Amino acid sequence: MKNKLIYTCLLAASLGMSSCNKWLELRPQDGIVREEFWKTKEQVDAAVTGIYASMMGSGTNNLPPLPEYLFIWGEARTDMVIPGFRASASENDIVNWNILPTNTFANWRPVYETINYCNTVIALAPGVMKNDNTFTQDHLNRALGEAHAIRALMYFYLVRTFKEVPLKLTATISDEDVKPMAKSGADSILNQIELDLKTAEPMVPTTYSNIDRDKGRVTRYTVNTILADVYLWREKYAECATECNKVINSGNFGLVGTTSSLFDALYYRGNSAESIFELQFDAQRLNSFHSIFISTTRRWGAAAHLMDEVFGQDALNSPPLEDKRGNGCSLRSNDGTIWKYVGADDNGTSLRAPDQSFAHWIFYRYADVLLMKAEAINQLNQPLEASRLVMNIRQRAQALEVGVPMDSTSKESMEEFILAERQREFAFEGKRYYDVLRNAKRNKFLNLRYMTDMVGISIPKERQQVAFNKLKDENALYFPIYLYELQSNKLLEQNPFYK
Amino acid sequence: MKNRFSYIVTLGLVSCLLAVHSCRKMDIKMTTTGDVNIVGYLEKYPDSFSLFKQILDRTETSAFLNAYGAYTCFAPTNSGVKAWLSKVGAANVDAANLETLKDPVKFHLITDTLTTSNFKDGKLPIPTMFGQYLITGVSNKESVSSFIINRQALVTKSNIRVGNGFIHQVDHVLEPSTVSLVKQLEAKPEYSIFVQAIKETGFYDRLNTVDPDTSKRWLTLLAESNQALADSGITSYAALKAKYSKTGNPANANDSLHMYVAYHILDGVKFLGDIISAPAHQTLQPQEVVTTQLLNTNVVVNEDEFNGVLEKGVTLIRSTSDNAATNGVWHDGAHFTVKYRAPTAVYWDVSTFTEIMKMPANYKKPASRLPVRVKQINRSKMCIGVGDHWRARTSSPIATAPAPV
Repeated sequence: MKNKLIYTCLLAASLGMSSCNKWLELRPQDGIVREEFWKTKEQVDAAVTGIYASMMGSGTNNLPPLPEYLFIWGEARTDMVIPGFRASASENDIVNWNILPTNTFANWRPVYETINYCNTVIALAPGVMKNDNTFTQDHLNRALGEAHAIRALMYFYLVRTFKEVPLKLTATISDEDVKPMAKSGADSILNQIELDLKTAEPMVPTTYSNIDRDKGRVTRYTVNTILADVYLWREKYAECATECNKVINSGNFGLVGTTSSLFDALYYRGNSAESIFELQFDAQRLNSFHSIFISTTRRWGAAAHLMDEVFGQDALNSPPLEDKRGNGCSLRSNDGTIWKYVGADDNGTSLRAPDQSFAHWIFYRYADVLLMKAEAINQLNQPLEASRLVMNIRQRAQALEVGVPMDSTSKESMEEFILAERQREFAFEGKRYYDVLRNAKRNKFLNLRYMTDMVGISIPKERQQVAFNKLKDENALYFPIYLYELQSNKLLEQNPFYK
Repeated sequence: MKNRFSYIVTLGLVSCLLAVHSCRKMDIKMTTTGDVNIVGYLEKYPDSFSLFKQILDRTETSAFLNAYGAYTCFAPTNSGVKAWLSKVGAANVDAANLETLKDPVKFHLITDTLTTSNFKDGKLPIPTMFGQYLITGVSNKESVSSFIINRQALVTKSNIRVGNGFIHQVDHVLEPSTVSLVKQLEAKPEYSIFVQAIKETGFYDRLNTVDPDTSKRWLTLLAESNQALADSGITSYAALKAKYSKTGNPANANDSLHMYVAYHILDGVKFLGDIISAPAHQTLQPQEVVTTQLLNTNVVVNEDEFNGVLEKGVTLIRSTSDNAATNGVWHDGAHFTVKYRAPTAVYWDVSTFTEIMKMPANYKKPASRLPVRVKQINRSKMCIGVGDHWRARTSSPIATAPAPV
């Protein structure tokens, strides 16, 4: 009996001692845990690169990559595009101004994913200084500056699309950080954006001594340009002009394509001297635009009136004069293909192959800076100086006279003309809706007609009156919060228009 | 003693066993989803919907609204129901006449799932269970826009997804129209001349009957107010008759006054949103159509270019149009009548159709490849004109165009 007890104890002890500690190891075998990361400057660099990579398409969810969102947020509600036969119900609803909280493009998740990458770098990169003696303060500043700038850019898109969103500035690193969060007002978000950009400005370099990096990463000029756009949105015109001047006076940028092909330099090859910040899609990382725009699987096409009423057609000369930005650049007129992202030449004859679909997504380019400055100084009652900047852009493109001619003596007429010029210059670059909204909302929606005129063209006839009456409600100009977010975050309140 | 002890132990063990295995209620889900149905949702929010729920119970509609199906329900809130009850003179739901409850209930239900995406300028795609269509729109008050149903109720909460459809919360009860097209007009003294013309030409009965066959029931009437007629110099029925009635008998189908009225009645229920979605509509006047288009947000009737001359059309007034009646809808517009066209030859360019016109590379460009020989056209006696490029190339051989991209 006693022996039995001893044997049992021994057996239990021996089992306990030799228990395989390898299989009880809780660390994942297919990834790196945070405790092992954030040790060296290379890891910080990798994390910063991860921010840019996340904008090109995320690996962690099945949602479309960010540029697709930006295209739809910036163009779908405007007179630039028409839905193709493959357009989803969500996309058609946006065109018809019937955006429901279940609309897939109301899901802001990809934007917040990038924001979280930025927040993580901001939270954890400073700690690397302790571990890696070769990690310099300059290097750290650069990483933090890039993260702040991209976070500001992402919130700027959110605030223009949703107006009020949760302002999350801390990193979500573990499940414990996932807490319900209420929306912040548009003004406090915009203040934070300005603060982020001003923080980033001295931290990031003016150049990385490599043309591709200068266009693909945040430089000081990128920060100035985003800041100019933010000031313009907030109707701070003098500040906007100052930021634009920083970029203009740098002498690093110029308009391309005056003598050669505009399409080839700006869109086909990319990273031109005009470019300020663009997403570097390449053969390893394709964009999602090919199937969206080619005619056999088209989800989006160019609106039918663009050649006649926006770019203009020349009936007097032979061969006819052409706006360089029209046929064969922005679009292919005979079948309404949006050419900027899928075209391979500027006669509109050959398309990019599916595995060559890496046209960059251009966030900002020099022409934008010039036109932003024009818009700002025009609001400061300098329409003549504004008209000179606009003429630069028009001469480069060999623009035709369409619609009301430019009147450089009147502020109101210049305001409208600059908006029309921006429509031609940035066709399909995800800017049109924000441009119209910015001009419409100026001086407490004094010029809501910009919005109604635009929607009058794009909306199906039988929905026109409904849409016009919706537009009179400011809240209808912004997207609803996605239903899933409302269900999982009880502090969120839906935009009152979509209740 | 020992027996007694073991007895106690056994008893204890058994009772323990029983305690452990005592019937624990197994929580088995018997339903595939926890979603409530329409009535379930109304029950969940008695503060908003208790009265509407009572109406559903009294009219015996709750049972099917709580069963499987696809419905859209416009649910009026309690304040809306109270206002309506006092309007029909009932103290509460139980005091109301059962018949007066039944029709409005059916008018709030559609046997399909419709979200606000389906709300356009004009009617919903499917009639209500009552048989009449609901019209939708958006109204803007103090810069807050909301959907408005039947010009009677605002949608205060939309697209509530429940197990068997959608609920839209509305702030008033929707009331179907109870009178026919012509009775509605008759009640308005400002349409007296037009109504008299309807009576004299014999269209009164047609516009007053509600055909039980829904395929024949609906008509659309383009009415002209006395003011609209006065603007065209017609101040009384006598003046109208003097102007148009050439045979002296307006009931005669060949009389121009008869044609004038027939030309103002369209087949089918066509709200303004439907009118602008087609270029032309058949009228009751045989082989005569009205053309319609949207010009700068105005609905314009009969604005056409004829023989190179632009004939101005008349505008339908949006604010006073889209009036639903038991047998159709009527609109309000300015004075117009049938246009008399003498027979004439028509010439057209055979290539002016949109598919060709959308190809600027080929349209009106010399040298195209079409399977028709110019000679054949010349030889034929057909009265057709041809496109510029065809005429230009009659003497030279037909060249082959570069293949379109």
